[in-house]
Amino acid sequence: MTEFIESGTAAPTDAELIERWRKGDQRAATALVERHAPALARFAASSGAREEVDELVQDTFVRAFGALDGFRGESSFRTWLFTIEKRLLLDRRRAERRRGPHEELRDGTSATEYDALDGLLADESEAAVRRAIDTLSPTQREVFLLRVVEGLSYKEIADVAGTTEGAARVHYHHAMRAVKESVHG
Amino acid sequence: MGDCESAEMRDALPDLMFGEIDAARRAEVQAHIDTCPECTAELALLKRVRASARVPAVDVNRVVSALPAPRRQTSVFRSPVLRMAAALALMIGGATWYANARDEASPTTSPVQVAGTSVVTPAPLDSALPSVTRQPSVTTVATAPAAKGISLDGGLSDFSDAELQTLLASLDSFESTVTVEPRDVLEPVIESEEVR
Repeated sequence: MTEFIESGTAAPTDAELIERWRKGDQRAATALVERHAPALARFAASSGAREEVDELVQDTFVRAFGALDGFRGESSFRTWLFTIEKRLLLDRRRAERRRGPHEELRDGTSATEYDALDGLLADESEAAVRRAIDTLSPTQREVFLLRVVEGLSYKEIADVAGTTEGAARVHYHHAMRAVKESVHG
Repeated sequence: MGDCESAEMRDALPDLMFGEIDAARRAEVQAHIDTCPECTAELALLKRVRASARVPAVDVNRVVSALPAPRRQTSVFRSPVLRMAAALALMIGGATWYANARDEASPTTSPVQVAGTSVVTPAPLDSALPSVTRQPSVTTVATAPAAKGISLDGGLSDFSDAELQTLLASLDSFESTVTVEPRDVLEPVIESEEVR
């Protein structure tokens, strides 16, 4: 029998928490951070910001809460957070490039000390999946992980990745095929 | 193992995994998976991918302490658009009030002689002006039924058609616009012989 991930129970919605925060309820801010920080951390790590995940996640929330007046609710709050985080990540990469060629570009190339640690601590199956994902192009990896790990729709992925829904679908299927070939051989 | 030929079913697999699917669609996709080894294998791989995603630790308290304070809107007029609208409304209201107030005051501030019997003297515009003679705001001869004058004590709505016509005829002798300083407007007071 296929297992399903159950959706949440009667927790306040993001919109409700945002409204409470606007009225001065700091606990609402804590709830929002607790709810979305893991996804932002995963996204940051999968995008190559492995050593600065904490800082990137914090900057994302600071930017988001400072711009909540401009959040119109046209996309989900999490999608909006992903969009902000991605912009911050791109800004950091541009800054890294300006600093000089000796700086390693974390744009999806594989085999770093992170993967080596994975081989020691992680299950081989898990490591095989990670290696497979590392072979993807940056865009394919971003689309694939947003779809498979975060459960975003193609429309939401398009908003985050700055592409179209159709292109997001194509990237996903290409990524899926590449991961299958890498894992299954 | 290859891919299932149905891209639509393959697209639905992540939605199935996350529960982002209604009951009818779920049953349809599940029925397909039960007969499709490619989709069964792909769904299993999707679960492995999701399980392999590690979550780097995030210091939630540190993040929350760095957040900006919310900008509370204590007044509806924090909105610049609403402030402009309120200012415009005040200007229009003030101009309308002033115009109405001036219109109401004008019958008693201009010297008007009607048919030689009524004297309407202006109320002093400024008590500091030494040339202004304080007189009752309206002096009327209203008791004599044979009087030809028209009392302007009441409003224009109290006039008969004949009285209004008389009044209009008298207006032809006056300038319609004020072209002199207020001091000059106050003098002289025109009085009829009958009043004297």
